[in-house]
Amino acid sequence: MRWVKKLFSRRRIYSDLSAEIREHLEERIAELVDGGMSRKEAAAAARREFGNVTLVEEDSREVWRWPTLENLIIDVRYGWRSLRKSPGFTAVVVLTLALGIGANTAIFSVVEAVLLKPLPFADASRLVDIGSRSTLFDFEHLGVSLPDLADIRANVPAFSAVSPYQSSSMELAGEGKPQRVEGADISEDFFPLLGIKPLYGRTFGASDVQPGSHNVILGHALWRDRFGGNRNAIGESIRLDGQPYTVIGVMPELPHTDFTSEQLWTTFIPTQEQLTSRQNHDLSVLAQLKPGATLEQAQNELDVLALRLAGAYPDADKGWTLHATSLKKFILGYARTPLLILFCAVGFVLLIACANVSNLFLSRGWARRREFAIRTAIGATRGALLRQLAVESLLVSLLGGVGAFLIATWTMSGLRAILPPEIPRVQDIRMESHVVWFTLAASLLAAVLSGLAPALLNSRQDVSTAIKESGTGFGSNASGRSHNFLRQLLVVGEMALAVVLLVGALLAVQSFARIVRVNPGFRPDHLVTIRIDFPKFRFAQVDRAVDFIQQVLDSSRAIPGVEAASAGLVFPLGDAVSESTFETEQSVKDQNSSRRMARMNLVAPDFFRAFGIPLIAGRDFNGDDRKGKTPVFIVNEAMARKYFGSPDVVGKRLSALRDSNKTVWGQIVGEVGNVHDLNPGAEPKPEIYGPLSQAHAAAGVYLVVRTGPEPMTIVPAIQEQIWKLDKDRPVTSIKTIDAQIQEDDGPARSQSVLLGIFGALGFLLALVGVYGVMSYLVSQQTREIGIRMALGAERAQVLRMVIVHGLKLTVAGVVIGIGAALVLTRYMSSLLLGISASDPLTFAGVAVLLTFVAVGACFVPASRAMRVDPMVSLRYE
Amino acid sequence: MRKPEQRDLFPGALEMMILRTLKRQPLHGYALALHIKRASNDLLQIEEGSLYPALQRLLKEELLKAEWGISSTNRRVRIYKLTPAGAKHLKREISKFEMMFEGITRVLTPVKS
Repeated sequence: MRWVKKLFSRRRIYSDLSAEIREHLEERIAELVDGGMSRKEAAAAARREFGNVTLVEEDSREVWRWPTLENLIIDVRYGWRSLRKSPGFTAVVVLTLALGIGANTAIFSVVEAVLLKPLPFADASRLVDIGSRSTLFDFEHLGVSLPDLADIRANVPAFSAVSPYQSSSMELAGEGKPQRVEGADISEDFFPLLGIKPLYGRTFGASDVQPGSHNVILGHALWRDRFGGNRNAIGESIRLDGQPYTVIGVMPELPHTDFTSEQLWTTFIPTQEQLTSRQNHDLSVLAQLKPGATLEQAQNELDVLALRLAGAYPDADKGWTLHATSLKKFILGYARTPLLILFCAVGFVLLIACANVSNLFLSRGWARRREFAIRTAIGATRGALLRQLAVESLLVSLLGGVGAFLIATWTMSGLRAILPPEIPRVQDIRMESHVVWFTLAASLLAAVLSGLAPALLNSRQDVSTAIKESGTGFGSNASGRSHNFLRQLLVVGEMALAVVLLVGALLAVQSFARIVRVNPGFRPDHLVTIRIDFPKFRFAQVDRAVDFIQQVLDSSRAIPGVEAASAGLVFPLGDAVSESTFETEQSVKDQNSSRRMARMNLVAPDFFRAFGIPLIAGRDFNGDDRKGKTPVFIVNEAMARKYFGSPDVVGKRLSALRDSNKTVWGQIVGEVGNVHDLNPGAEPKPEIYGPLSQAHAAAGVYLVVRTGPEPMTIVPAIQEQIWKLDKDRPVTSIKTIDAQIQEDDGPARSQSVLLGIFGALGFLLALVGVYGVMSYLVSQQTREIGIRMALGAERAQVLRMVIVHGLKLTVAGVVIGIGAALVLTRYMSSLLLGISASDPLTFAGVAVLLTFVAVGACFVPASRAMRVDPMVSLRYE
Repeated sequence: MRKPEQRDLFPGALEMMILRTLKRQPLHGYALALHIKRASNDLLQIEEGSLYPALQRLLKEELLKAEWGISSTNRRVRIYKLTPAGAKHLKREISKFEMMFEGITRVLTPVKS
């Protein structure tokens, strides 16, 4: 423990040392005075012989220290003192950095939770999703048929395993009403491929995947709700779709993604149709790459196979392509672009913040140059000054980092609320160690970005000029000039960054505004949809389901407050879309035409009235449109225009909804207005409606109810009516259309809100920064302005000179910014609906706005400078 | 950082001279400086100040100890004394130095044939 003693006795050692050196000098002086020198001369001579007293003392003290560490501590203490001496400066710098870093911390916490955190799969890089696309259907991702899958298994050596699965929705009986649970039918290799082990029990084995197997694996949430988290659940029996199933396993908690949030898993046992028909492109496929095989390789092999299948089975596979996507991209891919754009935006905010801080450091360094000069004079090297400045900018950056962390923590719940809930793992966002490290790294980066250039400039000392100057001649020496050059660079940079940020933010906001303004083609208010499922085990025949719905509608219409009630397989703006092939008399004649697709919906009478979709011609469906009679259809305007070429379509023949492969002709009895997706600028889609009563199959329908009062207040009465007819009917997905629209807007809304916030933040910071630099530059020209005015220059002339100078910098910044924005906003284009990523009006608007703002920033200090009496401004220095 | 000023002739030389001087008699700083200057016949231009960091190093390594006392000129001074460890260290350093010096001399002396 000797070093502890040393540490404590150091104060004595140091004072001994000082006393000793003083005595040394005194003794020498006394001796010289004895030799006949004057005291003053003697003192100077003694010092000369001794050398630099301060330095000697410091070197001697250093012997007792851990040099690097303690130098640092001393620098930190000194820096801290000097920051505390200028609390205003420190507060502004720390706050600026905290905002800049905080925005980054907040968005990084999202990026980390959503994109970076590994998925809990073993060997995830080898896992792949296989899907298909068709020229026929307007869907990004469709499934694969079982026979095609068998061909993939046999002909794509890059895969070591392919495992089909399909989502399922079942009715889980229990205490009270049955409940709908969303699950998946999987093969026995599904969980082993993912490398996820059950929490309790086991996953499926080969013996489970046999017809008649009734084993089930529970998801963590369902297990907690149903069995209270009791591990004795294994072996228990639950009723699914009226059948007893045995619980054989419980899965651990999995991340909140579409792929992993199933409530339960049952075994995938293909139907006869699935086994034989290539037309059913409906299975999801999890595949594993062979060790060493690449995704490209697999894709190439799939391309070859898809071509061969299209040739061999043109009926089923023509126009179809197969696509391998890494599982990570499949699960998280769509969240990537919006998050990276946000990350980019906050990065720009931080850069602007750093530019502001950099400028503040420059000014502060200028104000402190005497302090530096004196330190240099008493033996501090440039390195020591640099270290001092570096420590100071580190200090403020770290303080800013602490502030950033607090800001990010406080805004976390708000951020979670703004982000659309569909983003995978958005519930998992939290302040964890990676986020803390990121904040630290961002703080260090900010320290370098904001502190390096000013430190280099400020530490460049010319002792004699600095001391002599003591406040004269701003910008009159080399170091002043390079200060100004850096300042001008900062203005140009800030302008450019602000342009990019503002353009991005405005594009997002405008896109959202256009989405909100889309006219969906019907009245969205006071409408509620309610899902009623018709599981096969209860409704073997579709007619029973249709009858049931008819009864529900009849009794619902009697409820006070209900203005109209109807039902449809799908509904406008709903999550589900259905499409069907069709033929017209024209298309049958046209030999070359491939199959045509249109949106298809089966609806009960009154559907159009309930939605407020105008009936343009003909009639609505009615009770007479029954099975066995000629099929009847109603088409929308877009369908009439595109495929009949005339608005007069009532009475024309149309074939859709084929029961078998033979063409059955029906008649068009009405024409209705178009409905639009929430995609401004998109053409309305051709759509065919058929009567629900002529349906061949219906797994469930949406009840659509238009109400006078707030829809949710009527919902309980409707539920009651349904349960009166069938007390076990689960009633799910109760949602108003307004809420549905809110949900659909979600991604655009959050993107525009967040980009709007960061755009505004960046704009404000840039504004403050540009104003600061401009007024500084003008204040340096005060003397010049004074001279010019004294020599008789016109006010306007002088003002023009100042503003033109500012304008040059601004225009440079704006031009660079526009160029950068043109490149960068292209990456946004997939997120922008109804507006081009290079919308000229937005670009021009931002350019003009920023130019005006910058001219304003010059004008204020310039007119202030001109009000000053020339004499005063000449003397001012 | 501070310039590596000319405080040493070669690493350890100043320390060795201090130890050697103090071996004869305990001295205070000023007297020590005078002694070394005089002993080297003013051939070695040492800044007096450079003595002190060296003294602190020796104190830290406990090769010296220091006490406040009164000098012959009636000043309050700190008198440095060799510790046994210091004496041992000096001996080792001198023999090392002599070996080095001999080596240098051999190299520098022209070979007589």
